[in-house]
Amino acid sequence: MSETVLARLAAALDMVVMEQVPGGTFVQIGDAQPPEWFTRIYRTAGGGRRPKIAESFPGLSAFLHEAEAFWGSHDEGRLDSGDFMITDDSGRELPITATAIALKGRRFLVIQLAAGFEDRQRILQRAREQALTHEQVIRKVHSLRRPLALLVRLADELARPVLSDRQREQVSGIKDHLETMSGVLDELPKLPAAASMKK
Amino acid sequence: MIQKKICMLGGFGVGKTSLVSRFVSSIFSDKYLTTVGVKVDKKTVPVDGESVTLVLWDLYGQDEFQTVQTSYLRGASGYLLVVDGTRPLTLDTAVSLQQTAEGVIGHVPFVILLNKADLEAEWQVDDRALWRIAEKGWPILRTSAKTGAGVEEAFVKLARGMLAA
Repeated sequence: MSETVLARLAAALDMVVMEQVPGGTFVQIGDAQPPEWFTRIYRTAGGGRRPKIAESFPGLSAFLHEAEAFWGSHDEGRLDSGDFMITDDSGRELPITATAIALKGRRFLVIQLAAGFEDRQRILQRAREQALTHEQVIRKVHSLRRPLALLVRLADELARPVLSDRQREQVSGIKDHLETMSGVLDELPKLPAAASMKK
Repeated sequence: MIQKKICMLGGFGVGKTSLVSRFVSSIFSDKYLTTVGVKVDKKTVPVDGESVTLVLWDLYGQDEFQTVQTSYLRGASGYLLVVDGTRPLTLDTAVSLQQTAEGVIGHVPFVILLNKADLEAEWQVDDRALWRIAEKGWPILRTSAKTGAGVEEAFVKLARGMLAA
């Protein structure tokens, strides 16, 4: 398969395949038109100069260091970047991912829109919101424990038939703690329910 | 022009993205939208007569679902460790991330941000834990991405530390 056909296939899949050339810069393989989202980000600078890929995709800069080490130690294989966000010239955020591929000593860099990004974000969003809710519930429950323990002890005191002055004071204490607990319990239903977290 | 890379580190939901939005665009949204992956922003600020471009790497929050890839820290001249004052466990996460960061990029300037200062009445971070951190000489600032309080100061303080390093 020629590199042009490969580049056209890649473009049809919303990918760009680049190869590192001597000097360290990356050039797109073949003569296919890259995906439209890519051209909006990777623009030719003044004087026809192509910017370094990490200038247009700053989130790639750390990955390219890792990729260099990978290419230097592998003749075959791949290394994935993970997701990073890029803002295009219209202000729209795009999730991008890159893959460094070593193939018989050649160094390829595949850049593409991150597939399944929205699903991953939705799942993580929900998981984290539920984790936050759980943290809140745990804190509320924790705040109930001490007054509850005091109530139990005071209730033991009230088990006696005649109330002394001190015991009347204790009954007042029970009332205070009950009000504290009521306040906390009133807050619990206000916590966001898992069902309302679907985006 | 001087350019410095800063990483935003902290547990999930502590307000890293909100702090960056407040600092870069003066925008705040109450809606929590979790960060997946990395987002890079830039802002140029004057620091002691120098124009410094801060390249802000907003990393996803560390939790049981995602562990911060240490490669993102490469090249950072400093970092902000963000803590949610209403969630004590996020201070533990910040301390753990400090150790991770120091292991990767060495001893570079950093600042701990006690965020959500607008909710200070609901803060639950233990004063003794904060005291132990202060005893280590770690700088701590209070911020609110919601009101903007302390945000600019936090970034400028870190920038000043990075220039001095």
